[in-house]
Amino acid sequence: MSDEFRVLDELERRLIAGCYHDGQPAQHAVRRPRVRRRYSWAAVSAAGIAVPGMLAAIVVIASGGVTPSAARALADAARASRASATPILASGEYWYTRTIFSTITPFPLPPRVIRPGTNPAPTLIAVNLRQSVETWIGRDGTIRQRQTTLSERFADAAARRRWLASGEPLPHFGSSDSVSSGDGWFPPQYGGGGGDVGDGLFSYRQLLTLPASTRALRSRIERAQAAYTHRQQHGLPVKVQPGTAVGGIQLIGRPSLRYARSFEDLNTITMLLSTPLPAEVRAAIYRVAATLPGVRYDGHAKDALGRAGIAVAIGTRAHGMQMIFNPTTGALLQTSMLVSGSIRGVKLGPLTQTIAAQGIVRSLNSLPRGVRPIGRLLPSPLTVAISPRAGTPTSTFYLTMQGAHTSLRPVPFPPIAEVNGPTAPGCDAYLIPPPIVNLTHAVTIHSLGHVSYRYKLQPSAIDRTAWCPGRYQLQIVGNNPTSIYFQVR
Amino acid sequence: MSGFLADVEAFSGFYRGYARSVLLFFARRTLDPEAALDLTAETFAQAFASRMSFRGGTDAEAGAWLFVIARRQLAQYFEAGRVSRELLGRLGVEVPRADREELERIEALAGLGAIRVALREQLERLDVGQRQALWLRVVDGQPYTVVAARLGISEQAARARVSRALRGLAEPLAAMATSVEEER
Repeated sequence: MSDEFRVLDELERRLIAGCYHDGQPAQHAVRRPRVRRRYSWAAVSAAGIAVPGMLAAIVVIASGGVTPSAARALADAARASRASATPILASGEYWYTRTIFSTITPFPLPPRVIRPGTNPAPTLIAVNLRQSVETWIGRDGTIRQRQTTLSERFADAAARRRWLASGEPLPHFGSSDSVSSGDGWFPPQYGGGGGDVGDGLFSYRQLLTLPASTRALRSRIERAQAAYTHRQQHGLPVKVQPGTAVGGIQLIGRPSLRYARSFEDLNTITMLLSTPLPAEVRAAIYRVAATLPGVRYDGHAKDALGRAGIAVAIGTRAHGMQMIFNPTTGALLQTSMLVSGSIRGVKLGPLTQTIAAQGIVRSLNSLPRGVRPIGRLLPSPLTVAISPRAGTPTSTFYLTMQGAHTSLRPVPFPPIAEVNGPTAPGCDAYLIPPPIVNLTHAVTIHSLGHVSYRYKLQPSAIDRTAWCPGRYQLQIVGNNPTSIYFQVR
Repeated sequence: MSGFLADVEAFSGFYRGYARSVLLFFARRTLDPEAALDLTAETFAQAFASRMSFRGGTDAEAGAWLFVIARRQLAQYFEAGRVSRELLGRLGVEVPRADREELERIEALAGLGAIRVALREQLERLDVGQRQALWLRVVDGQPYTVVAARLGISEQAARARVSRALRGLAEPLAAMATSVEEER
């Protein structure tokens, strides 16, 4: 190569210097901001796993015990919840949630000059980051997720000086907007971030019919957690593997299994409390929380929006997880990953997720009454439909992409798509990594101010003569990714 | 292929096996050797960062996987109007600049001359602003500063206009690029 392109040789040297330190792959390079909630706790002791949150941080787990005051506070919340209204989603309606994320996150400052053979690990600069994540979730599990950066400021004057002295453009965390068509599961509140975004513990119908007895509910949640973990490990290949390219919170240390289980359960509980549950089930979930070993009472607290509530936590004030709820309504206000320590001189702070607004809306592009839009609320991303939803190994599926006139290109531009699918003998090698799919434009439909493009999807699109049985996820790649599921029997 | 790209030698072999092809792949589809170099760098950085997701077992599968990443980068480039340097930034890697002689060599090897001639016939598909920007940048070979000055817009807007124009022509461009690749 040297004879042809010196610039490629130089690029190789620089990439190696950035990717490998002392001959070993650099670990900092694989952590990136992601928004992803997971239920699975199985890999905690092995390597670390993504749990609620979008920002890289480290939580060290300590041990703890049960406190009666925490149990009392949670019992009060259960009583308050029983008196609350049950939000019921009708067909075509969506459960809207706006969550404000806030933390201090390290941002790498690239070195200005890289000398061949040197080891240029980037300096880290502390940035105070606030982002909003809005989700619209339908009964069928369709989820739109819109992430907006609200503020990104240097954590202190020294960080600002160091960055400005580098001459680099200011760090920017960006925004995103995506839709994943539902496949039955009511997905986690914060979907996205790769992998099977449409999966969840329960379907919407199951959420409505969860048992209201503490013991039965706990058992039901544990079974759902086990099934979810099994699906994640044996269903769709998940691009983001635990301990590798995950952002979220990385757990380190050696928590006791008992304690780790409580941490997982509290995580699941906060996630369930953010969904539209019947009042009785909501109450039962607080009672389940009161049975978790290690739950501690943190007393009266205010969330990041200044709302008063009661805080309970797992772990210590420096290392653990805390949730704040409204004792008079039972509403979950805020979840925090309590963090201490530093990464290469950057002091870490807690990662808080504050639920700022929730309610039922009529479309993927509307807000509950009284909720003001953040920035300009753009038309929702493209929506896609697939027909049939379930087929045979030789089925032709038809993908329909629809949007407002202005959001589609003026020609039926073949979308760039990827497929994730089941692993099975003879089926796994080509699906991991997902292949680019060759979609064939079939027809353009104009109707009621919208334009739709329909594409054919056959096994030949991924160089196969037949689909393997299982669950597939088709992702349209782009800045506003869109995905949909289909089944092959 | 467990431990894929696990050490410097493995990365070096992988890079040397594919860097030239990836660079020319991008050059033929962006008609911009500098952007192609940036995209090549980000593609390898992305490959390194997501190496654990590669579960293939052969060199051919590794190559196919790399080009999946490359196509995704290209789509994002067309969509955003600029090259993402997300992973390069995290790795602290600055992309080296090619000198004029090397840029010309990339153009020659990529067969950009033939593609540009064929491209002229497709320009009518674009709106006036995009057509002007694309002509100045790709056919006339003007730097972005000149494109911006000639059109009375910012350099950033000029870059966005060119990339959007290329996105509009992505289909014929891909066909032309494939035909050039098949001839060589």
